[in-house]
Amino acid sequence: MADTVVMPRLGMTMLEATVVKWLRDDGAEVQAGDVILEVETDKVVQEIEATSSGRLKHAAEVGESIGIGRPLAFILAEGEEPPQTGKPAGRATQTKAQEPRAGRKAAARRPPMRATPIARRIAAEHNLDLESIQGSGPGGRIVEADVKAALEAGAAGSPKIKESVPLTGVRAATARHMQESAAIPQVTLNRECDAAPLLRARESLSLRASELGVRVSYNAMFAKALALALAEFPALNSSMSDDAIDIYEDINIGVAVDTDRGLLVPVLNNADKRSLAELTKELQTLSTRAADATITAEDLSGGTATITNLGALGIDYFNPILNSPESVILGIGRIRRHVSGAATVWLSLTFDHRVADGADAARLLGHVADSLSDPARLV
Amino acid sequence: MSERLLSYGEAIDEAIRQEMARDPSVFMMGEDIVGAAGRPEFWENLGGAYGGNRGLIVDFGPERVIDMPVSEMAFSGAGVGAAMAGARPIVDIMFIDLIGCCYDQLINQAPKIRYMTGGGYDCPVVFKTSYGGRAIPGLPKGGGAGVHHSQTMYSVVAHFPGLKVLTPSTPYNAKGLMTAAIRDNDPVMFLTHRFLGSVRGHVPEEPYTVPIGKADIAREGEDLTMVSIGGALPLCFEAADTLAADGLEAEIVDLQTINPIDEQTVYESVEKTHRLLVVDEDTPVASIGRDVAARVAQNRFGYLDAPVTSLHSADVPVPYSAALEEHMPPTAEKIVAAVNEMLVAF
Repeated sequence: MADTVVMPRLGMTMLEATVVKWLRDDGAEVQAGDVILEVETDKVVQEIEATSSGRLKHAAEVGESIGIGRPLAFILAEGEEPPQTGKPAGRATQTKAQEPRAGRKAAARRPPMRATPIARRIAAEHNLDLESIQGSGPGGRIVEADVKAALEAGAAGSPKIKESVPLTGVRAATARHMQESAAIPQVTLNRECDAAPLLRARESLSLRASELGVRVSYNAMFAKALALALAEFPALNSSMSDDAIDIYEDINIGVAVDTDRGLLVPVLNNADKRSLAELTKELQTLSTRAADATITAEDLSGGTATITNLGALGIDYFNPILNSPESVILGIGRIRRHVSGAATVWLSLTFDHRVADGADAARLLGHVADSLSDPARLV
Repeated sequence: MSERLLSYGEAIDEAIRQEMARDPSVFMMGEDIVGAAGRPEFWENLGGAYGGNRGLIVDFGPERVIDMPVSEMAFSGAGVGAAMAGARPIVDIMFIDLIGCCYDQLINQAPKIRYMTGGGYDCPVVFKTSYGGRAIPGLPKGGGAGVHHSQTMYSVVAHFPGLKVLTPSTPYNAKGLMTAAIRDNDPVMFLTHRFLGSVRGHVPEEPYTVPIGKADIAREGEDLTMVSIGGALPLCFEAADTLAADGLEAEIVDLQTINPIDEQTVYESVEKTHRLLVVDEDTPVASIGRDVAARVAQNRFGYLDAPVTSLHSADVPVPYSAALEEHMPPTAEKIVAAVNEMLVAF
């Protein structure tokens, strides 16, 4: 009786494999254990051995895809004829056409994972993957005790949850927004700037507070500095769309505001064209409305770039994350007065590297730094 | 107050006497329930094949305690007729093996009277009979009574809608269920295990009922549910003690009523323990034990941690040889082995 060498199962998801190379010729005498051919799945190349000794008769050609359990070769005794395989013509296309059914059959053929009903039930209730559990029951079956042990082991590894706060409102929006931003290839440039001129400028502007109607704020000055820099380098006053960089006409600077409800970013429209006093007043109004929740969607939309200032909270510098879909965000650290009398501030500019390169962003940040060291430009 | 102990047989007799005293429509008939071959001087000391109705006729007179000729067909039919006519007969059929003779009355008439008459007739008859062919551990060996006086075969009467079938297993429940059976307005089969007769237990003197159709949690446990049917209870207790020594706590659910089955109590127990062994002294084919097993497999599949298992007598006629008969029914050792097998079964 002819011995048949069949396609073995070489992986959990394998349905068939391709004959790569015959290592022994058709008609050759082979011994059991001789490597006779190589087959390839989408993952591996595997050598196939003769299952007995005798005369080799190929049953598949190089390049042919053979399903699991289908004959690859026959090993014949002396004078024996190979059995009729009855291989229909055009089998390859047939296999393609029947793919869904083949998949279902393969799923049915897969050895069932042994787990008792209660083990399956508990695992499902706790979203536990049974594949990850080693069964201790008869025949390696996963029993209730195994699932409970896995749950306890899992519980031991993770900290105990005191309370679970549902993700809603501003927190949910921020979470979604930050997740979106994380997909953007972004780079942060840090630069320490001379802040002494800025301090002097603010002092003199403060003296004119009654004349201006307001005590000009640092944030208004930083917003204006960024706006002026973007006017000079408009390529970064932009957003990346599917296959274009949309450069905006207006320069609208969002200012990150910390409120009880979470982070909000009211927008100062046309910040490059407005006076520091105007910007300060509007920022005060917007901040108040952000805090008491009377701020509108309009106040919060239309920004083309953002500044975020953690200086008041004692932060020296940090890497801000882009306020998607904008291309730049300027992070501002605390203004540090040195013993020498000098003053410095760290500026951190994060930019979308798809939109511009490091040198472009460095020039933009340089412009901001220049404005701050010569605040007359801001007025 | 100290516990009042009665035997299983005494408890049933007390229920019958109390109900006969309470309700003049209750009467009893059967073979040898008077005994004494027509000689009243022996009435005091005789009554019932196992002496269970000793002296009953002295207390209630020959009109209410009536010996019957050897024709089960005739007097079971008389019982159905009397019940339809307004009496509450207790028909004593000495051995369950004899019900083949009363099958038409038992399965075609009694359970269907209410239905066939559109609710026009009650049929409050109690068929009392005995089953079981093996000795209870710790008691004198019985058995060896041959194929016509040793069968368990309660499954064959549990099949019919309209016929309630009780298999009490403790003196307390036996008295309460007999009282409930006599008071019930439908036909009830009251099955006593032949070798539970002298088992003693706490029985209150005042009349009380135990609900028909309600299983009893005889022992609580977390690891395994044993559903015990009738005379299997002492075996289950013995096996549970052995298993407990190995750290496996069995919960014993004494089914008590085999039609209708209290599946809810069984389900609740299985939901807790995730394993089920049914112990049934009847032979396995078309049996109550397998019925319970099938219900659990079908309706509580998602709670199981081991294959549902049932243990029965060997599927053979009861051997006359006591030496062979010993090997036929479930024993505590077989129960322990079945549990161990269940825990390692593929």
